[in-house]
Amino acid sequence: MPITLNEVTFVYNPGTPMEVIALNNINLNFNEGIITGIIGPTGSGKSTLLMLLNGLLTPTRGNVVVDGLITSKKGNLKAIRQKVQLIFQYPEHQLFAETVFDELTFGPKNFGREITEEQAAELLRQVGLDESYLKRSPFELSGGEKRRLAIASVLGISPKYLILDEPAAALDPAGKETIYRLLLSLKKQGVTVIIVSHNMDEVAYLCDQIVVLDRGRIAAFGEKIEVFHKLMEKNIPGLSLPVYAQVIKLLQSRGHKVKMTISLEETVGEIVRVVRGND
Amino acid sequence: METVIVANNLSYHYAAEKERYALQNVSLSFLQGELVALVGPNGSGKTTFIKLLTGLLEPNEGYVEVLGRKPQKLKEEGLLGTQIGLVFQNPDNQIVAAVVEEDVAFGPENLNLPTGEIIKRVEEALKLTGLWELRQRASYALSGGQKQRLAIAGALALRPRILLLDEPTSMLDPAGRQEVLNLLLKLNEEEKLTIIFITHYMEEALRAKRLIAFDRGRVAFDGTPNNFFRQKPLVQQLGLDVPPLYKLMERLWKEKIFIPDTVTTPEMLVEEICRLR
Ligand SMILES: Nc1ncnc2c1ncn2[C@@H]1O[C@H](COP(=O)(O)OP(=O)(O)OP(=O)(O)O)[C@@H](O)[C@H]1O
Ligand SMILES: Nc1ncnc2c1ncn2[C@@H]1O[C@H](COP(=O)(O)OP(=O)(O)O)[C@@H](O)[C@H]1O
Ligand SMILES: [Mg+2]
Ligand SMILES: [Mg+2]
Repeated sequence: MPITLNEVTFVYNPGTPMEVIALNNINLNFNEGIITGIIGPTGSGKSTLLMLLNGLLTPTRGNVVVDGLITSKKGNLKAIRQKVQLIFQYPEHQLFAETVFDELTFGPKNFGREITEEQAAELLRQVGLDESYLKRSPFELSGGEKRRLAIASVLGISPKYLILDEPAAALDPAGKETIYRLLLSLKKQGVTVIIVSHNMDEVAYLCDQIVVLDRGRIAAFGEKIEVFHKLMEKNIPGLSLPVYAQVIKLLQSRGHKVKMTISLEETVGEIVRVVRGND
Repeated sequence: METVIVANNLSYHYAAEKERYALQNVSLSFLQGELVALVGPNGSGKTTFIKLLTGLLEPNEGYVEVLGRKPQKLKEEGLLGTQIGLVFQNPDNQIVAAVVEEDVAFGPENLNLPTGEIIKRVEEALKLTGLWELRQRASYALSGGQKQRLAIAGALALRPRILLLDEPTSMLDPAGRQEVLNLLLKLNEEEKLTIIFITHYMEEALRAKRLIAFDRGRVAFDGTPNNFFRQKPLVQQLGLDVPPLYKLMERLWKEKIFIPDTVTTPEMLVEEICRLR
């Protein structure tokens, strides 16, 4: 059974002058074994949505159900947290242990699982770090190294649902590739992956389906190409298209009959047709 | 052109890491009005380099001079900000006041400038960053891109000649990223500000005039972005990638569609395509 949101509304500081309706009547289904991308401008409610998925926040109205367990019931939280692992936007907020090794073993221990040094080293390898990091302090890592560690430290829990807020921000391009490969291989193993991303090219490459949030509401939801098609027509401030789709859209706006695509080869094909006057 | 920053034979290792150098024998200098992108793998020393330039860290070997003076000295005299503005990745951590214009006034107030001068500088900084209309807004109610522009405005109010930015766009949505990048290009073009920014987005690095790539604490490349991306083996060896737009241009060259390599945005590309038709 997947994760379901039923008519979920979330309000920060309700009943005060600081009240913010961060999410407004959201209905969503995260199906198993696929990668879903959540995109939307700053403040559209993406991070709030993620925090609702593992019970860190509970809805003001409506409910969130994980494998039949409702998140607003306190007794369900431990079971939900073991299934649903969340990696925050700013990983430095998530690190606390004295050494990288402690950081990696803490989570699993909480769920009754011991991690050996060898296993810890393997977790690091999966995010492109080597075992020389094990003895170092998490706080004395570079920005990108911290992000990698934050990801490695939840892998040890073998979550069924893995949720990442901006997983590739601050990673170098090779690091991004490493994380993409990791997420795709987790998907193959049946893990349900949900990411928030600002990088349209990343979403285009990685995700199967996309949720577009705009001011707390769902502006589009579905298979990725369909969603990008929709985004070409509907201009949401703050969002842009993948680079190749931008080129296509600009060509269309100049009256050329070219086909919407997000692939490099197809874009080349369309441009060749335009230049040769075959459009 | 005047040299504004000299980094001579810099080496640095963090206290906890005696045998491992975060930066090793780095010599670089920067001229007035340069627009420089620093790229390189995670942990290659970019942030360390910027911290050394601003005196947040002191080199174990070598030295830094900012407009002929040691950053530590400038810092002690409280004048560093008047030479170098510094902006970080997380927009939320850089804002000190609840209202936009108060936040920008914070720096000049600390310099004990006369009120009239403060007002003038705040107005100037807000206008340069396109935040004039938002000056009465609560700073927490800004978008990510606006917050980063506010951080830049705060730095500009001290009238520095150099702006250093550590991944200023990595937490922003595409529009925010564009806003900040366009602002940097404008400040460089119109105000002749020397700008050095760190980025992992190669399409942003493509728009700088000079690209410096770090690798394990050393400088692996220093030249124009186009020259860098042309060197596939080096780009790959550093674990960096070629920006999607540049990949597209390369494919077009193969098809004998010759787009000039000065093109750096989708708009410019489409302009060229339509011209070729
Ligand atoms: N406070 C610290 N104490 C000890 N070592 C550190 C500290 N900060 C960084 N390092 C180490 O110094 C080296 C250079 O780090 P630096 O932060 O300069 O990298 P960077 O190029 O900015 O990386 P990123 O792209 O991930 O931000 C890395 O090996 C890092 O682990
Ligand atoms: N802790 C909080 N207290 C009050 N308002 C908040 C808090 N966190 C987020 N908000 C507000 O809720 C809305 C959605 O924010 P968020 O979920 O962080 O969006 P996103 O992740 O898409 O940028 C915004 O208007 C934001 O200002
Ligand atoms: Mg967020
Ligand atoms: Mg850094």
